[in-house]
Amino acid sequence: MIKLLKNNFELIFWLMAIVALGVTNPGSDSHFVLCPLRLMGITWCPGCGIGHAISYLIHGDIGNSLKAHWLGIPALFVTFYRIWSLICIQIFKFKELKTYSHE
Amino acid sequence: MNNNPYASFPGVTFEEISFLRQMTTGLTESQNQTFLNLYYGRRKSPQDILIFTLIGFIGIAGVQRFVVGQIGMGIIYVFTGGFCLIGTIIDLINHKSLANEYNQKMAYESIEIARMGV
Repeated sequence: MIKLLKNNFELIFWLMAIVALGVTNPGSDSHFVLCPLRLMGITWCPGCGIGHAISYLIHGDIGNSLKAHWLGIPALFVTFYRIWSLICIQIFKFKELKTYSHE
Repeated sequence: MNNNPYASFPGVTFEEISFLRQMTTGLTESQNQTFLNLYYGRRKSPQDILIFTLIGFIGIAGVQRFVVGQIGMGIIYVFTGGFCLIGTIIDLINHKSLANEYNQKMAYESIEIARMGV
């Protein structure tokens, strides 16, 4: 179980991030903040609003998403592509093992 | 031939050695030598990836993603400060599997070239 978690760490992280952003409501002000910069008291950051942007996008609110961060749409696509390629790697790994044992 | 030529690679992991062993089973001596030369030039040490990731804390984030060939991810990292630092921390934890993933790709490429050559 722990080995499975360790091997697929990145995949699990991205999936959980997407699910978490889909579940939370971006409109409400006082939701739990994970941003380490915000917790340290620094208010400006080039990535500020990307979480809101992706969350708005999953909820279908494109206008607000662009307002929160203009990279929300490409970020979501790239994240999905990364999840897909990580899944592909896992499938490919098992296939590879089989063909090489027959050789 | 040296019994285990992969052990001399800097920062080599057990996983890397096992997949290299598995891939090079059917190769002839000279093909194996070509493969080793090609692969040695292409592979990235996990430590390099770790250092590129650490740049994310003091300068531009996402260098590690460009180095590993994930251009889209790299652009997003650069413009969002590594997903608000969280992505950088993830890559810090994950640097070994990032390097392994890239090295595996490079190993496939080198083995194809080595097979073509001889």
